[in-house]
Amino acid sequence: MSLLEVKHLRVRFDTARGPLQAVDEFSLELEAGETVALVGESGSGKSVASQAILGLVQSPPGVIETGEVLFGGENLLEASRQRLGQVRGREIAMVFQDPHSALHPLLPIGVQLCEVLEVHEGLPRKEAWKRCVRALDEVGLSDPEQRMEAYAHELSGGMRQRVLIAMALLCRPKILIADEPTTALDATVQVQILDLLRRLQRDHGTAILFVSHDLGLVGRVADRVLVMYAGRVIESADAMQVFERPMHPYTLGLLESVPRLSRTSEMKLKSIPGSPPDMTQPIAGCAFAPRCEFVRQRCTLERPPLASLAKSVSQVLLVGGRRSACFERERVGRAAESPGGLPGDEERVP
Amino acid sequence: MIGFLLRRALWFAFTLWAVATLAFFLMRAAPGGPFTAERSVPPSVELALRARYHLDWPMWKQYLSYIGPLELGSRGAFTGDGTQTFGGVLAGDFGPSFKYRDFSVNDVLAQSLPVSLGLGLTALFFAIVIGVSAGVLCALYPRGKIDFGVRLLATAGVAIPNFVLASMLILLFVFLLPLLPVAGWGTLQHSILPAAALGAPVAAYIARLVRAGLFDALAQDYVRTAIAKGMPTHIVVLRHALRAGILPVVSYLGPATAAILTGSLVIEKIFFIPGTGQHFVNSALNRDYTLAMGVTILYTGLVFFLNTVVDVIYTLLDPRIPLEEA
Repeated sequence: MSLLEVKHLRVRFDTARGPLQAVDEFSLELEAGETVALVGESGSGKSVASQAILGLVQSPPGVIETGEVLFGGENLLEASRQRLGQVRGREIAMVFQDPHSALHPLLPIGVQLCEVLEVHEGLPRKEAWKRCVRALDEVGLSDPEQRMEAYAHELSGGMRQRVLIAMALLCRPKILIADEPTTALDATVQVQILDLLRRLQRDHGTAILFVSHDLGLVGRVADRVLVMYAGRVIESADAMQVFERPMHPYTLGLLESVPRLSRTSEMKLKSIPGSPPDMTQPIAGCAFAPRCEFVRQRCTLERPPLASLAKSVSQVLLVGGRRSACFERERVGRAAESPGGLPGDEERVP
Repeated sequence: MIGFLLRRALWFAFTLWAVATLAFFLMRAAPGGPFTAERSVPPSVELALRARYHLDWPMWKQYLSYIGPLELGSRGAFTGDGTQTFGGVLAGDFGPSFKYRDFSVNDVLAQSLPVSLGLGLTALFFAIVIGVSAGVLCALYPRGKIDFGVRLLATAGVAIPNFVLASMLILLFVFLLPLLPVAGWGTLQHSILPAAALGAPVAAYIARLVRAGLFDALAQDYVRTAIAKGMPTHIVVLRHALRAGILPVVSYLGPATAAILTGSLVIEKIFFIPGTGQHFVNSALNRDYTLAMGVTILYTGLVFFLNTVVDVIYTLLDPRIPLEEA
């Protein structure tokens, strides 16, 4: 049994323009100690899906229609508010995108850290304080004792994200959900934070669900990648496979739009034409079809299922759990391998 | 902090001087005088009275002797009965009352101010407790039944003048349900109705501020962080959201104090409460120059002092705002 299993999750938002299907048929498995990346552009449903795991989708307008979030066999979507409070921060912790607004502006850092241990482990303030100082030291914050007294506005963005990571890992959670943890930071700090996450994962064996729009960044951290488009997972594979041979035109497009140092000036950066579909409208066929260069008539009529690539049992060993929701995936894969298509694994421009 | 308080003290002195000067000349510009009555006094008596209070002096001389203990001829200018010497406002002496001949203004204020302060603080206390709790309930269950009811009451509370509310309260709790005394002062029962009438508009306004502030705070990222950390609801709401949501209320407390002070003169009249508010009105009508001046200066000082306290509290609550700019 996996550490965390999300099955057939559907989340809807009731907006002024009608119901919006933010997440549809979302499934995910997370094993202890591994990093799974959830990739997609804004509005693809990746953040909503990750927040639904801890019941953090605001309701109203959010409605979780169907699905299960199994954590150790327990369905968190049916858990009581009290039980959910025990899981949050203690078993499954979360780091959010914008460290500038995620810390309370009017409470000292130390108070915000200590309350986690006070609530979850019943520690008195003095002991909690000592452990929090150690935690700040562990995430590489200088002068941790003074930082405890500081307020959020007295710290830089990178320092705040370190504080938030320290806060999330205080109770040694089994799972860390990192929702675009580096997006609001500048490039050099991004790399530092990623290294920090990897080091902490190695030290504590935490499983990480890494949510990002940046496929290049994901290559540095993830074991497995789930690519989302218009609320659905359209490709899932080991990270290496995705980068070597993407099998969905959207993934291919994402990869080609990552800037690389080896690209010469004549090689223009590709972009995906068009924009994501209006998700308040029902979509017949593949949601990506209007923007797809591999589109066939069938794509606009019939929705491609997220199917395993293995055609027989023996192939399972070869392709692993690789899945793609595209009728033309073989063509996409061949195009990706063709010369001039995709570059290798050189450093991307930060 | 010390620099801020020193600067505030300088402003305090300047404000008091400006208000005292303005009030002094405005009072004297008003037609009539303290000894003009329906029953005409013989001219010789009036002259003697005016001479005794030095109302026959030129205006500048009256002003200077009112403000400070200057040597202006004989010491003890402005004395009413000749037994006391008047030290001037700078020495903390507001002089003799023209109307209550046996009392100095200081005596009158010393008797009435504790009553008014008691009433005002009770009203403010209830306004904060009720306003904040109602606002919190509304923000937690927006668009629910409680929210609808509180918003209706709050709109009414802001719109209805306190003297109308006072009359309605008297009708309800004195005549229809004989629970409380109709007027007077001294016991807890006496203070309930006036404090309610005085505090209701403030409570209504605070409820609206808290509702909006907390509603806004609950949608902030740092509140989501607190929920994701597994904090129980009462900590999320009271420690995280309310701390930010209450800030508008703190800034409102300055104006609220002023509203309660000025509101109390009407309420004191309705409930026959021997507070300072009644003197504020009566002294102006009676042209009791010194008493009117005394009350004005006292109220100015009170409002200024409380505003400074509010500013200090605000910066203690919000470390992002340096005190110097408050």
